[in-house]
Amino acid sequence: MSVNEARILHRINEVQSAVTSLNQGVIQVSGQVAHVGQRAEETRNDLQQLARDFADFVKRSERIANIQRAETRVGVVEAQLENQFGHHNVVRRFATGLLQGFDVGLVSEETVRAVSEQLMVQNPRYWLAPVLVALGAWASDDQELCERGIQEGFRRSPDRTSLFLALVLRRQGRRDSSVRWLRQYLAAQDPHALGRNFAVILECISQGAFGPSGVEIVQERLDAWRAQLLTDEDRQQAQVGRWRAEMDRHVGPSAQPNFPRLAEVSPQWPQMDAALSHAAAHGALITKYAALAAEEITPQDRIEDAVDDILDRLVREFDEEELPLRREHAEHHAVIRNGGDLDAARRDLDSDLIALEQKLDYLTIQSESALNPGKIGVSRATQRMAVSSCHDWFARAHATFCGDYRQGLPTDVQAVFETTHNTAGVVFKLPRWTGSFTRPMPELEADLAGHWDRASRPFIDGLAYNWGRKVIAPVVVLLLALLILVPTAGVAGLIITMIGGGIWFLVLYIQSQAAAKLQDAVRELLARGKQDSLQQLRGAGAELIDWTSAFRREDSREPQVRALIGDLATAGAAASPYERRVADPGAQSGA
Amino acid sequence: MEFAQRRRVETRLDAGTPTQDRQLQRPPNQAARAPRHAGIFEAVHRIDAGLDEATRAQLAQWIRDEYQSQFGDVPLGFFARCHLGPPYVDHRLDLWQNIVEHYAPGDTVPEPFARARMLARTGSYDFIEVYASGELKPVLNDGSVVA
Repeated sequence: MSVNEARILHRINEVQSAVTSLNQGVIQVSGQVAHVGQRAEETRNDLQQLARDFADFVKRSERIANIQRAETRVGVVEAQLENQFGHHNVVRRFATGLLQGFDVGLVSEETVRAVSEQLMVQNPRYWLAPVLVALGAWASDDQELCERGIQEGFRRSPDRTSLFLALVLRRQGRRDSSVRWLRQYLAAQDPHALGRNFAVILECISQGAFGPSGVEIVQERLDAWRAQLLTDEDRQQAQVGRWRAEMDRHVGPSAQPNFPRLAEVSPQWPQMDAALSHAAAHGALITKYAALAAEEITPQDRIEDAVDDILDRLVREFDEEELPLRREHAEHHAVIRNGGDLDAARRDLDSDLIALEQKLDYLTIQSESALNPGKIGVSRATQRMAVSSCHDWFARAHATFCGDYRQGLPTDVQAVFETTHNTAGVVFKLPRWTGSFTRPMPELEADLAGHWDRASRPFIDGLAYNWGRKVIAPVVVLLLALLILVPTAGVAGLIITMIGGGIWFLVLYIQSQAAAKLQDAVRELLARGKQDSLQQLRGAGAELIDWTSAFRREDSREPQVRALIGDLATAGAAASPYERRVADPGAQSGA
Repeated sequence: MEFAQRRRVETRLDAGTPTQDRQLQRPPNQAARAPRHAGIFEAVHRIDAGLDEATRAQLAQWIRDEYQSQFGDVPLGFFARCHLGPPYVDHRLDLWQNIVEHYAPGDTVPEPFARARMLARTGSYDFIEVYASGELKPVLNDGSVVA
């Protein structure tokens, strides 16, 4: 073999080994790149988590600051209320004390007169003070003073004075005079703009405070108002809207933690989650309203106690001039109640402010008595009566609520696998795959597996060792060597050529083995990626079945809510203490 | 059951309409919300029961007249669950074009009927009225209308 040939062979070997080491280098680098990619992904996740934590921290500290500010302001407002209107409380306490004193005859007329006159002097502009002077004068038969006191009280607050006197007279058994004042009160009312204290009238009906003749007058008037207001579609719609908001308040939380794989895979998940949490409202509504329907409301033993409670409510009610401070008080309270969340507080406050509004229409008073009894100041019995009156709006709001969430259900639930859904997907640049769960699961699985195979085939085939191309160069070189060496060197040339060829083929064989190993490794990665996708798909399919049964279970409670609304429609009126009292005239002995 | 009785009495579609215009004396919105009577249920169920085209057209006409006189507004048609069995799950009854079309889950339903699909599938409503405005009014088994 000539020196040149030996050098060529040597160079070829060098090139071959360089190619082999380059190949190994490429494999190593691709491994490192995948590793770096993974680290980058981890870092990104960490950063996102950090950003979320930071945002949470900022939100939390803002809320704490809001709570502290609101707590300070509540203290200030309460001090202002006490300072400016605290003396009203004395009058209020005196009013109830006075009536009870009359009952048991433990208070002398002089004391009553002296204290009431003193309160009159101390409480300019407050309606209750002159009315109490009138009561004191009534007790001591001073008709002139009594009339003047009443006139002054009526001038300061016609509504409250009329209602107060109607109740006091009813309490003292003066039915005719009581009904006269009641009529006076009702005649002055505009059903489109009633004062907050009108809820007291509803309370009186549910407590049977006016006796049969009074209730008849009130009921007649209320029915007429209702009929009048119901002709206005907008007003009715407004009430349905109020009840719709009540439905929305009972919507359950997101069920995402129970369906993680479905949420991950299906783009329709937000709609499905919304439908399920809305359907969960049925259960919450049943719990709340079944308790109200079933509740045994025991009336007060004596009618005086019932009237006293109502009088208490009436006199305790704050005056118009206290309203700005009361409103501020409610605002700060809402912030504290909602843990410093200003948006939630604002939403919550809307219903508070409705109760604080000066003028409401009769239908709104009914709805508010049913929905926010605490805020408008009515008892449980009155709430039930109000729910009964509102059953039509309740039913309509509930029916549209159900219609809306059902209409929001997706017609087709799909599974979507993006390139980035797992690491193998990124390595193979797997195109997006979409499948509908309306197809049977085995078919879907086969389709997804086929998609993986199709997408990865060019990549894997590209890694195969190309014997055909690699073998051309050695064959040509060896043939040339044979042609040159055999005629010149004979058998020795043949042996040298064969040895050279053997070495060359050994090198090629080692390379092909390395390529096959790489191909196997990649195939394994593919198999793992495919398996992971199929598991995600199966998991999502199983969760879809669970979701469907959970949704059916919740949704199927809708007829129960409808039945409950039907029960409430009849429950409120029939069980009112008033009806029990007329059934037993002896119970009205206090009248 | 009062409703069942009404249903029996009013199933004779051609026996005149003594209750006609009764509902329309109410304000328009209230009339549109008035419960659908048993005659309508009967007609909606019959129209899907393999009638010949002429009878079906006659029935559709009766339904249109009934809606006009009683509720003041006539729907484009109805969408309801299909009882033919697989592969059909729901169907559309077009009152104006006199079409009855049954759909399998994968089929495309024309708008605005498509939006009533999920309402029908929940099985909570007897049928869903579909209006030209796109408004959907599901009707419960007891005749009450969701609106």
